[in-house]
Amino acid sequence: MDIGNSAPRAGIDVDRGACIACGACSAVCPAEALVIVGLTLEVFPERCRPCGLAALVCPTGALRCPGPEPSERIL
Amino acid sequence: MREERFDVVVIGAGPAGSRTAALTAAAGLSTLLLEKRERVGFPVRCAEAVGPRRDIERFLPLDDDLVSSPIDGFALVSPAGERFAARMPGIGFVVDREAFDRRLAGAAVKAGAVLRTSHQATGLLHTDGRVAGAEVTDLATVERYRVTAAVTVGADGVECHSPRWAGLKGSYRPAEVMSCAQRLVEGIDVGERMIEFHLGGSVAPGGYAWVFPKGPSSANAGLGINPLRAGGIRAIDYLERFLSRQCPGASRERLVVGGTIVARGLPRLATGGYLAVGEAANQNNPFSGGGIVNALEGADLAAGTIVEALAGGGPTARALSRYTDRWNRTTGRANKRFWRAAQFFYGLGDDAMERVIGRMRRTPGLIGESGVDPLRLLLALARSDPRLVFRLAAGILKR
Ligand SMILES: Cc1cc2nc3c(=O)[nH]c(=O)nc-3n(C[C@H](O)[C@H](O)[C@H](O)COP(=O)(O)OP(=O)(O)OC[C@H]3O[C@@H](n4cnc5c(N)ncnc54)[C@H](O)[C@@H]3O)c2cc1C
Ligand code: SF4
Repeated sequence: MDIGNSAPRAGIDVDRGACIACGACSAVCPAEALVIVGLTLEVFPERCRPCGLAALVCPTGALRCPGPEPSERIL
Repeated sequence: MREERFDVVVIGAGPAGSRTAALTAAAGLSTLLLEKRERVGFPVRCAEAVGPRRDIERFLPLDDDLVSSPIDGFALVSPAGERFAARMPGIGFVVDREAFDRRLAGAAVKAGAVLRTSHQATGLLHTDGRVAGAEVTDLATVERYRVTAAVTVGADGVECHSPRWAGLKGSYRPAEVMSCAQRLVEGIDVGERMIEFHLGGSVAPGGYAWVFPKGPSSANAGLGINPLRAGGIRAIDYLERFLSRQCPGASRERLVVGGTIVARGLPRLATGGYLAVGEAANQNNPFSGGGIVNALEGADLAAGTIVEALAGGGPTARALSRYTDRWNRTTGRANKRFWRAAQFFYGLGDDAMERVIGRMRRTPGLIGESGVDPLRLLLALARSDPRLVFRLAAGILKR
């Protein structure tokens, strides 16, 4: 992963104490950056687009996803 | 990379996967059932309610050790706390979901399927434009290997990576996934063994809260919300608020969180060499989010189609598309109606919901043999609230 590329944005951030690996975020993440491996949420930050959607469905608030840069927003 | 060969490989040992594997193995097909968790059914992410005994016993005997509590009726609680209740003994059961899932997986093994826990599918194999098996990681040894199979079944639940790998769907929008949180609460009165549904924007925006009897003095109390209507407040915060109001004295035990897919339904459930079943196939009821029995129904249709295809001309996209047709003629059709009903109902707003429940309370004979009589309800509503009924009709008639 090219760190310099994503530096202006905060990356995907998981509060490990709060995440219960329920998988709700996996259903929403369009980039498959969030994968439950066994019983742990694994993050593949290099796949993140970023769209900010998956964090919305997290029931515990464990997940923070970066949103798109203003210049990249479609709407 | 090491390679193994099976007739059928099933990804995920929830109800959908275990039931499919049991049926394909019983039909004499060599079947591998993969489960990424160490223990089938654990941890439970479910409110554990199912329908009447005859619905379940099409699939497995509802032995006493699977039942936590019978359900003897239901109650709707309006945003202002008005209660519409209907006693209906035999309407359903709250099960022990872990034991339930393990029983189903056990049936698959008994039928001859090979079950591997802590083995996770990490991708699909493709040959000639067809799905030809799965790539698997043994999580204990971190060994990766390939399983080639005539048919691959995606029963991977809410995470649903495999239908995406197969090109059947993209990801879901946040509003299509109910964000849920639940506690096992101890020390509450469930004397009447009713299941309760609590409605209202401040209780569970775009969804509902539930209290399902679990034992003599315990219940699964939880809620599911539409995250886009929640104003940035998380499901667990709504839950704590609900419990403080609803059962302030009860102790709050085991926390369950999860998402349940309440989207409209997939246009295609199968492609060459692959089909999706259960929640991965968007087979949950989009009104309630429930999906245990739907998953079992999907599994029966999927397995029947697989057996037929392998006995005939092979698992082509065309042969497996019969599964989509069969689903769309049965539960899939009902799900379309439930989806439209959900768009209408959860969009009502508190005032209209209050009026609906008020009208239900004042309408005699609303409960028939199998629940609320929709025609009587409609007539009652038409009398009190013609505009509402017009909106409902417009919603249902819309394609
Ligand atoms: C909070 C909550 C409450 C609910 N309450 C109810 C209820 O009261 N009644 C009801 O009917 N339904 C309820 N549901 C819905 C119900 O839980 C699902 O519909 C049901 O579990 C679907 O069964 P399934 O077999 O399709 O998927 P699941 O039961 O989710 O099984 C999928 C399995 O696949 C495994 N898996 C996933 N990916 C892989 C992989 N790559 N490799 C190997 N294994 C994998 C998972 O670990 C899992 O064991 C609820 C859901 C939630 C979240
Ligand atoms: S939705 Fe939240 S709790 Fe569930 S797996 Fe994702 S980050 Fe963890």
